[in-house]
Amino acid sequence: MTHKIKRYGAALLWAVAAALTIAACFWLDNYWLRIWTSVLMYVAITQGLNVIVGFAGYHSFGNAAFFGTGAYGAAMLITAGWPLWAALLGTTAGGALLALLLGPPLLRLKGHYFAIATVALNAALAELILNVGGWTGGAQGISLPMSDMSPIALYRQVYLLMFGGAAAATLIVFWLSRSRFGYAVRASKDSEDGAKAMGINTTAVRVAAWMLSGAVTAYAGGVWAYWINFIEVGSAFDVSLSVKAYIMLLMGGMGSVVGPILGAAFFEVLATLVWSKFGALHNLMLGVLVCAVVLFVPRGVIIPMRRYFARRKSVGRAV
Amino acid sequence: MFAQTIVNGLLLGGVYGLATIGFSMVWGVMGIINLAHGAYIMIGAYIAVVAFNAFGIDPFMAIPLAMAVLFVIGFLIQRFLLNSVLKTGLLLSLALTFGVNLVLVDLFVAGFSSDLRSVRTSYGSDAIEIAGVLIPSVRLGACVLALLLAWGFHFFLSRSRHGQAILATALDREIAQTMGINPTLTYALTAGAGAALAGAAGCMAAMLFPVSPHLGNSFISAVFVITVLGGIGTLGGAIVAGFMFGLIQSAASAIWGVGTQEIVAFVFFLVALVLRPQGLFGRKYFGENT
Amino acid sequence: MNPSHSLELEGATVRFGGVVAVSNVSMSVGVGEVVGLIGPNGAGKTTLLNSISRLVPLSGGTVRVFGENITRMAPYTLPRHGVARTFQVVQPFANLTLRENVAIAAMFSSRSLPKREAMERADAVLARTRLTQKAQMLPAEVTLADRKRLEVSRALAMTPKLLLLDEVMAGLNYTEIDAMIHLIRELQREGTSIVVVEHVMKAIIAVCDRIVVLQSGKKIADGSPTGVLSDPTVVAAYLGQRYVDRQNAAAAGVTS
Repeated sequence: MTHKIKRYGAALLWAVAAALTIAACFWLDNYWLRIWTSVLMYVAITQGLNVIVGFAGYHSFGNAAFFGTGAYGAAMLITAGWPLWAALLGTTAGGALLALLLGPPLLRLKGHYFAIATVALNAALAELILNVGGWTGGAQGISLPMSDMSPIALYRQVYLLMFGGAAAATLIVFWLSRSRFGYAVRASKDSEDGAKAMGINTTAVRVAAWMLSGAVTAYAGGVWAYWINFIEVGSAFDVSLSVKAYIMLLMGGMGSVVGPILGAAFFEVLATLVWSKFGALHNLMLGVLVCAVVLFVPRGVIIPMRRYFARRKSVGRAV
Repeated sequence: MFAQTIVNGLLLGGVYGLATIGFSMVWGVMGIINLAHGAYIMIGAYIAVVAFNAFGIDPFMAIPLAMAVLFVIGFLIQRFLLNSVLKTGLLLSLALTFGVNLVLVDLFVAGFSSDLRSVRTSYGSDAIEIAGVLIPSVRLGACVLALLLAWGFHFFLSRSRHGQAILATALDREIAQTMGINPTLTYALTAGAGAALAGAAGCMAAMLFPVSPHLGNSFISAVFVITVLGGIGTLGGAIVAGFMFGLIQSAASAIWGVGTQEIVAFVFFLVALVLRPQGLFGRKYFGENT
Repeated sequence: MNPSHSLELEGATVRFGGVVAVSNVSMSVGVGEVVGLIGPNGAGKTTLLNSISRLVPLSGGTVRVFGENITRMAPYTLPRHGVARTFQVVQPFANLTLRENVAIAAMFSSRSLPKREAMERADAVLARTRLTQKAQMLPAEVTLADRKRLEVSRALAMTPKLLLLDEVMAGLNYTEIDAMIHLIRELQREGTSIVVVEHVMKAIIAVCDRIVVLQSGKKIADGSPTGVLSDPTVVAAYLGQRYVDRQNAAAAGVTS
């Protein structure tokens, strides 16, 4: 009975939080609207990373490749005249497609090698876009058509779009944490041979996981392109995107549903405050922050907390 | 034309190889991917810049100084920061070194601004001509010196006690410990030596490229590629792959234009990674999981 | 198709670079038969099992399971053919509870059950292997003997027709060994074909209908337990004369 209350209670909390988040865009000023949009963007990216790193155990350090692809995909489609919803849909599918194509060869690599391959992939895609030029804009980047909405309306629209992405990404992670497919992914991560011996096609499972990861990350990139209206290779394929998301994932806890949300919120707000205080040296402060997180809370905060509470609970039950 | 391309590629490749040795050894010995390695190269370059512009010291002469300074920096960073993440997951070391890199680069941005600096020696544009092929003196000197330093390091690794300890640890960390090799010291030494070589490469780079705090970032992707191509943790691999990389870039530049250098190298890299992940001289163990 | 054998190996050879781990081994297991696979360390027993379960490719020869040629099939298709295995070095899913570990086996093998039914099946299997009390614990939190029983539980959850056991007794004490022997006998009565790789002779004698002996990758004996265990080649290679003397003394002791 308490179990049911707990489950519905949790669902209720999530629903309230979601409703509040949506409502917030109507009373936040431009400045905070922008910050929270950024937070939501990182929630989506970090949850995407959570899927491939936390669940599948494949350290995709260059997941920014999907972000950049998503940004450029959306930018090119919108410039070509597609309506926003179609452009976003198209670029999301593009992200999934990229993972589908590159997954089979790259996901055969283990550990270090996969991490580096994704970094190389990220850089290679950036270079490709730079060199192809023409409708990719090359070094000039792409300027999206100006919207005729008022600034505040535009920011709200972007906020809600990002929220959609963050919510979808979180739901995917939630689904992974309790579905058959999720079990297949986690089993493949824990013991490759064991999973195979039990009938799991580990390669297919991983590729599917990366497709999910790529799709949500590409969506985030697409909305971002629409948001900032001008994109170029350096910022779209920026590796620090991946690193920030990874730090957020670390802090929040890999494989947890709510962790990336907390990690993203904390880190992004902190980074913004740091930027406003330190301006010029903000990279340095970011670097120090990154080092601090890695050195002092490498296992994140959420998972150890949860284990601690679970242990206290089970001890109570035995007594 | 063809010969010129080859010469260009080889000369530059020597310096690339030198720049990579430290990165490759650190990765092979400690399993740490040091993203701050580019910063070491950058610092070496700035040492040459300051030495030349403020004190009139020739960049080649500045190399010993750069090596000494960077040895200390590399040693300290390893000893007090990186040693803590040795036993944890791979990506923690990547994140940590990324942070260190951010700090170092920003320090130099604060100190020197992002303006480009350069070192213009009197002999900077001299070149030897052999059979119609131009061999710039600076590049030739740098390449020769790079090979000498690499050979020197190889000598150190194969003959000295500390060097042997480093090689042993690279092969099997746990067994090396049971044989009385102190991993902490070995790691710090390896890191220091690697940084020193990077510093030397940085001095050479100052003579070849414009110097800015972001110099390291443009080197690091090349260093990555060369490490994996040559085999992680292998000195010979780093040098040979360095030459290969120089040749590939040079060829790409000659055939398709300068802009395609990077991407051709990357594509080559991705293909090599999938086909032969252990690189040229790396070992492939059956049943190896990492 | 009504195959007479659950497993048929013909000329199986496994090479790793220059090393020949398994050399031209042919053997078969009848339906419902329990065959022991013994031999000194490094003889190739686990490699042979790995090649049957397709985790390692065969450099030569064929493998047939219930008449079907599985030589080139991917490892994750084996459960569909009714094959399940345990691992010598236990490989549980470390971040999942015992119950989840077993449920996964039920979810993805021949039955491909949805989550709820898989959990129910897991509960049933855990009850049988007496792990119900520890079902919610992580593998790292239970004893080695329990982890071995978890290995077997996972295999059982796949309702196998051919079970490959890789040194399930290693590290167990006498009581635990007896319990495992009891379980294997039960499975045999239910008609499961079993290949038992073991070093514990007591267990081999207790459950096997036939014994195959490997040495340095080659088969050196294949026959009834009494025959094989007194075969001089086997004694020289593996058992040692003291073992044979001890057995003879025990037999003499009984009759006198």
